[in-house]
Amino acid sequence: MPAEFSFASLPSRARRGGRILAWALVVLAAYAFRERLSLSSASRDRLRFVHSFTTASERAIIDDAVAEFQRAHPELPVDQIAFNSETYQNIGWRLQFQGDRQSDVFFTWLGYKTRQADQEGWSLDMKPYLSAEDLDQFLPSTLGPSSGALTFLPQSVDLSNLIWVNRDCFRTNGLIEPRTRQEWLAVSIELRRRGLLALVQGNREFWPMGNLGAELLGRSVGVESLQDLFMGRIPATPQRLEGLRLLVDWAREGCLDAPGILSPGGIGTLSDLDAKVLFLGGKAAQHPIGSWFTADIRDAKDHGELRFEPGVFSVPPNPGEAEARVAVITGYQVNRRTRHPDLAVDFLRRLLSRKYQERFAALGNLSARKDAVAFTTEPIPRQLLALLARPAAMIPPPDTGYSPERAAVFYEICAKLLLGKLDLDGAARIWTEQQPSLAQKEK
Amino acid sequence: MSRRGQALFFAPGMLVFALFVLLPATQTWVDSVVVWKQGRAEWLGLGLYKMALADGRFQRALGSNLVYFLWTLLFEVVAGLMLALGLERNTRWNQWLRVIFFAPAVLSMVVVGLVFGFLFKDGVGLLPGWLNEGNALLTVSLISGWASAGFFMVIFLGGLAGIPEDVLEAARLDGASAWQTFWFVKLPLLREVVYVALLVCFTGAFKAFDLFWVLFRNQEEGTIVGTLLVREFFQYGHPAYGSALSAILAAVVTAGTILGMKALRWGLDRSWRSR
Repeated sequence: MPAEFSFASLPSRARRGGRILAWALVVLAAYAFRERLSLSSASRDRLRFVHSFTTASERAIIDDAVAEFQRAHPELPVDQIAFNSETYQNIGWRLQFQGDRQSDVFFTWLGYKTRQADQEGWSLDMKPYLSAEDLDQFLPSTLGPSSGALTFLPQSVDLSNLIWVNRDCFRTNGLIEPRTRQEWLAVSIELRRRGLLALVQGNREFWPMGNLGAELLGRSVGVESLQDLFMGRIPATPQRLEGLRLLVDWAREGCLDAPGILSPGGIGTLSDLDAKVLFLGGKAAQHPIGSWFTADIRDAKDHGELRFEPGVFSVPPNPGEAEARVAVITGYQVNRRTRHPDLAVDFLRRLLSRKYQERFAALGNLSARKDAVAFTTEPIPRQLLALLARPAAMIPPPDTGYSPERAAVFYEICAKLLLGKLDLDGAARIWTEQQPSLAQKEK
Repeated sequence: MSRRGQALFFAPGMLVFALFVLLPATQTWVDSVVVWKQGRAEWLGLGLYKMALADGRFQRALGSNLVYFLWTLLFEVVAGLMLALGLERNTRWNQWLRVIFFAPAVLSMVVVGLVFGFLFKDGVGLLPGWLNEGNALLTVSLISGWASAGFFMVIFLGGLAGIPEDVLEAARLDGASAWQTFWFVKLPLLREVVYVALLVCFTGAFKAFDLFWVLFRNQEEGTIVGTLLVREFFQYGHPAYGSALSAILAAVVTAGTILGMKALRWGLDRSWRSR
């Protein structure tokens, strides 16, 4: 019968081995969790640049700006960390301020995210590092709050809600681009009556039609009341939500589906990319999406895949409505913990200079620089710049202007209106019901 | 083996368990009752738990988990058992079929979700409309069944192989039909395997995440507790509330497992003994 095992019965060499193994495990654990154990900081000897530019043409511009910076500052290598846009917006953006591999310069969205970065102490005041001439290059409205610190430098402005149209389809059916909301609904109903898919959008992620809903509502109640509604400062009533009536009408009239193309409710299962494919493939007459769609139109043209003449118009107004538009301003902030604030700002100065912004404009971006009109040559971006120059109140897209959950509540309401699962009474009730829990979580 | 010896062998496993399960689980629970604001801890107590239990979205998500469990019971466990019974005999043809039916089980659910997402997507897929509201839970359960029935088939095949041949021979000599042999002989002897399969199916249905995340990012019907808590935690930036949801989910799964297994064992034992 084998003798019972006991630790004490082991030879001393084996016991020593056991202790060494235990210590090795402790050291291994300390090494594995070193980032958690060390204090949060940015790198001493590198400049980390976090962004979400993933297409080859955008990366080429960024690479050239980085190369220019490297020639001027060879002592400070630049590391680029490129995230998928959705991952960055949801998770990456927040996580970059933890651990000992923090970013120095990071891409961001003006609004809720910049405000949170300012409140959390993640953003640097860049005023001391910038001259008046530096700042004078940008449209003042794109620099964020005019008083106090300057923590954001803009790169581009995007109009979130434009209606891209298949002009050939409109022409064939004897329709013209609508000038009022009523005409827009009538055109959409007429297209559907002829068996066509009047509008296509992928609302799987909610934001595309949610942003349109915010613009419709903002125009109807005014920008300040919209903010009050979003923050729960005034109650949501069916009358106040009347601006969303168009979504209800579209759902009722079947403007978002068509036999053989998209079944009722299909809008909720498509992504924005699917919707883009359907529109560019000529299967839908209208596609509401932001100004960034310019680049897709261009790509489709360049590849010979666009078989119709595209056009674009802004959301038609209701008579007597305030002029307002949803616009998202993207740009950069510098981490307050950076070891190289002057060089980080210098990097941005170069990246946002006309030299590189011209190249971004050639890709269809609307630059936040004052001289953008001079270097934007593409017809559609020029039309959009002219639109942007028209006086109008700016509404931030809900997911960049408010907390993500407040935005999500609104987006979900819009999605349900579009699916015909809610009317305005139901929308007002859901919005009101959500306010206490939103407030409690934000405490 | 002495206690010390046992401890020595137990320690590495315990260390890994403590580091990667116990510690994060405790941290999750702590995060659900305490929040840190500018370096100061603020005691929340059970406030977030009360809020979660009253949250309509959480209730609906938990309901979706339950419905999903019931469907997967059919499409995974029952289908797996049927496959195992059908392919029980050790022929070359059956061996090939076993490989074919088991193959989807080795695929990542993310890949499965993407493939079926394209297949069922409205407007662009070959079988459009299957993922629309109203069909969502049934469709995702079917997909899950396609991917996992082979896994349960293997479990049941293992159980069937363990049934003594003389018991089956006795049933045959007594003139039992195939159905009678299954119901009165094989199924009672597979009892322990059935428990395991149900346990795996139940915990899997309530821990589900990947397939739902890939297929239904925002659909109400396709929202289960797993996707809701990830959204709360990461997307909405409410780690405390997300932690409370995961603590409740863990409690539901643990309680459900214990109670379900006890009830099942009691019920099955009684019904089989009474025959």
